[in-house]
Amino acid sequence: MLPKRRTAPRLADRLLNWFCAPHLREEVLGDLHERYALRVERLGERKARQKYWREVLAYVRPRFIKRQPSTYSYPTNTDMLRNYLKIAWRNLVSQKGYSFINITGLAVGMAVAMLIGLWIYHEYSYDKFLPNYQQLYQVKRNYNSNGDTLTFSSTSLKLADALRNEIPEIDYVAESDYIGSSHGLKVGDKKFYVNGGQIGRDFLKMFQYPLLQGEASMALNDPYSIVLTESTAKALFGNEVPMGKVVRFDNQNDLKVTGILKDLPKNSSFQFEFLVPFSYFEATASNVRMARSGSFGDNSFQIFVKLKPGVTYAQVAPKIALIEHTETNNVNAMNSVVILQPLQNWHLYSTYQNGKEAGGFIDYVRMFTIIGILVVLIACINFINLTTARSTKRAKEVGIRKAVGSQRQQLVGQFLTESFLLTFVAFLFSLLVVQLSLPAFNALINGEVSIPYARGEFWLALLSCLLITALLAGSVPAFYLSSFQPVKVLKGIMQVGKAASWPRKALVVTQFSCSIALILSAVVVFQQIRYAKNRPTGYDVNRLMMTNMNSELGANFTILKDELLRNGIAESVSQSSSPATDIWWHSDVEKWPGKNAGETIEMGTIVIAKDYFKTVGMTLAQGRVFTSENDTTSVIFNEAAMKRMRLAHPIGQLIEWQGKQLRIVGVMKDALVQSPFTRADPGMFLCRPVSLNVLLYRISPRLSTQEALTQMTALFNKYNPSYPYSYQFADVTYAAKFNLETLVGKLAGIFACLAIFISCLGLFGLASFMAERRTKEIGVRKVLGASVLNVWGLLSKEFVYLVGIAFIIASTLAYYLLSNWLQRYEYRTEMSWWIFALTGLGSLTVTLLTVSYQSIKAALLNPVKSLKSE
Amino acid sequence: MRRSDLGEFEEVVLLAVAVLTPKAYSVMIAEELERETGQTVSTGAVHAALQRLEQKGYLSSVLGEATAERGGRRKRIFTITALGGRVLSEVQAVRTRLWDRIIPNVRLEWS
Repeated sequence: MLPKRRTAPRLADRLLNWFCAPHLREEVLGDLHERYALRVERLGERKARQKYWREVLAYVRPRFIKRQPSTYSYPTNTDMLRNYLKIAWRNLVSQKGYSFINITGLAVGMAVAMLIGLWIYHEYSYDKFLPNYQQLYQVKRNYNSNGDTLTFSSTSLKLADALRNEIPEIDYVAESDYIGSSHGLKVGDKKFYVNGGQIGRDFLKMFQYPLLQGEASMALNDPYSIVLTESTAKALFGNEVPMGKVVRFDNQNDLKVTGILKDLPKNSSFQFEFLVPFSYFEATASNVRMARSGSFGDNSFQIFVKLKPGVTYAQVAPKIALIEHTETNNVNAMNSVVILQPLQNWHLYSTYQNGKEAGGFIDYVRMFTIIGILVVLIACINFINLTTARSTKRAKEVGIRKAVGSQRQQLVGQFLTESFLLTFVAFLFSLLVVQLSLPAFNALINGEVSIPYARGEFWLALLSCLLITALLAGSVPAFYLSSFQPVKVLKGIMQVGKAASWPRKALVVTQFSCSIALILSAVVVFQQIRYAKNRPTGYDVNRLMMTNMNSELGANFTILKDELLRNGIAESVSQSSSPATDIWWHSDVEKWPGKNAGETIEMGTIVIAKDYFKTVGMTLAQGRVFTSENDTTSVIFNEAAMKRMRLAHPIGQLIEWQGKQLRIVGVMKDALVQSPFTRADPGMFLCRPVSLNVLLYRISPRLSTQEALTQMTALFNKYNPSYPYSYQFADVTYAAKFNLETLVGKLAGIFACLAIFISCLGLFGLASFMAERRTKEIGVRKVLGASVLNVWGLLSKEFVYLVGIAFIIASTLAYYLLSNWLQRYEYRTEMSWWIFALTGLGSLTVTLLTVSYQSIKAALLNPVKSLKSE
Repeated sequence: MRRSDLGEFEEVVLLAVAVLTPKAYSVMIAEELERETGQTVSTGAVHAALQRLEQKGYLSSVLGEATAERGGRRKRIFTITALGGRVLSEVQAVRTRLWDRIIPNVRLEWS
């Protein structure tokens, strides 16, 4: 008996089969195997296998790889292409229903993807219009607070000077108060509150916003100068030439206009209407002058730097990190590490965790990228499913084409041409949809998104998206349809078995899983928003109004308060250092009973006037409120602060704050002044004889808002004539804290609805196809006594079953992803079972509605009609 | 006749075909050359040379029978054409003429 013949290495054979030209394969492979057999006898199997590989590789030469020219002739390609387009067009027109479903689905999907794409492009374009944006940074501090690293953007003027003088790699440093704060500008009788900032003289050399008039290097040199944006200048001066004219600033000094900036685009992180030199701030405010010669601990300014060209942050980082540690006696400075955040990250990476950028808006950008891709995928699945399901209709055509000599590639080409045509038509519609929906979309996201028709990259990106979509949607049907064997399809024994329908079912499940998961996400986002909105705030934002104080208002405060109360316009009037919905100042409590060594607290600090608690509606937990404006040795904390300081019996205890001994006289219940999603921050209330920032007043419920506003405008114009009357409603400001979440929820909701819509379109098409194919079966069933309900159930069952599976997959996925998302909120809703139940029920109803139209139509058909025709 | 048409390896392969006729196909030729030269000769190289020689008209080929070792695949059997025979003798004649002109003493010094 012959020894069992060992076979040659499989992988090598496969490699050879892949590269070797088909007409040479027989002799080449035969040679190789024969020689392998010889070598096994002579050298043994191991050696033979090694040599076999070398032999195979020896065939890698052009003469063995080059394919024989095809024996088929190539007709001029355009002829066939014309034929393909003609057939595609005829199919499109003759199957109006399916074409409509396909085109609508794809158009909506592509429109969603395009909107998301434009929006993401907009988000990424933030600040990139500035020349040298890579060299621009904001200075931040990583502050070690009892082991936790907190990142602050408030810095000291001493740090600005240190960076300027000690770090040669830094080109320019600009210090600022807070860009975007509101100030009064007045020219003649025109007066406005506009947002702007006081900023170091080199600012315009660093951030080169286009100047229409004036010099970037000169505009901020003189302390008594001001740079306006074009529209502000227009509002103040009308058509006069603004350069060299004066503007009354905060009703204190006249500033000369030294520059006109082009209006800032919306994709600028900085939003200001004017700039005033920081030197003006120093010249007019003694506390700023003092801060200049103060310590690293005086953190109430912002600093921006520009690195020298070619210098990277990594080179500078070690030099600046510990720059504050020269002040060894200052706890704050010794716990601070100085870092820089590049301008290009300001917009997308706003949150810091453990001293490092930890996301922010970028998370939502990523989320919507995924949503966009999913929606397009869902639309592509529609196309794939409908085309393959209806393949029997085209089978005869494929058979005939093959019989008269069409090659498989040509058929693939034909069907791809069809998908390209369809995608292109859908694309034209989607462009229209995007163009029409842009204004609404911009209003929703409060953005300035537009279709950049003139940009080459845009068209290139669109073209590639178009190609990808067409290939994605067209390739599966093209390869499936072109694989039919002409003999079978032409003899009419083409049987599409169960096996052919299950990929389709899998695709439907995928579609609905994505759509239902999107719906669930939107629902949970809204649930979380509602949950946080219903959270007790600890004070009352309704009818509470805020107006920024100014020197004139400060002087007339008592009489204005008197008038407001006496005329019954306001219930209560007070003032404080922070508005009711924010905390502008955090400070350290230096000593308290039971303090651990080195322990610090970032204590939200609010200086308040008489009637503050009554005005904002906070309630006292224990102790008393301040007795008078002169009660400066007393302090009131909130409950969170007491918990943080571990004081069980706080009343009467002494603490030390900024070197002064203060006695705790009262404890207030916690109030959610900052984020509605986190715990209440520890806070303290003080009485100080200083000028305060915000006027707070609650209007009387007896007056309508409109009446109150009319009367208050008259009063404010009387007692504060230098400034326009401007105000904010606390409930509006509070509601704005939910803006981001609301936007995300709305967008997710809209896209989820569109995804469901597209999925249902596909389902509708599939159902109508199924009903059509089973006409005869239904006819027979009806003759045999099946009721309409029976037939309806028969046709709907399958889809309900698929959506059921999709729902299970979607809820598992959504549960996992959403619990992760909710983790970012300290105060978060539970994902209760009924959300899932309701969503499941909803999607099932939608499915049934979609399918029922077709199945009932089929069930109602007279069996005589369906059985008669053959 | 363009003498440069025949490379050294091609010449050896052509000779081997002449030697092995009527059973000359790439495996046999490669094995034969390996035996004669003592160096590894891949069928790929031989096959490529055979194809070139066939293109030049020195060889003709026909598909032969299949064997079990070949996995039932047929082999391509090569035979030398008249032109090929003439080229070979021409090459041999050139070589012999040159060999004959070497002085006998010189040849001794090598061995």
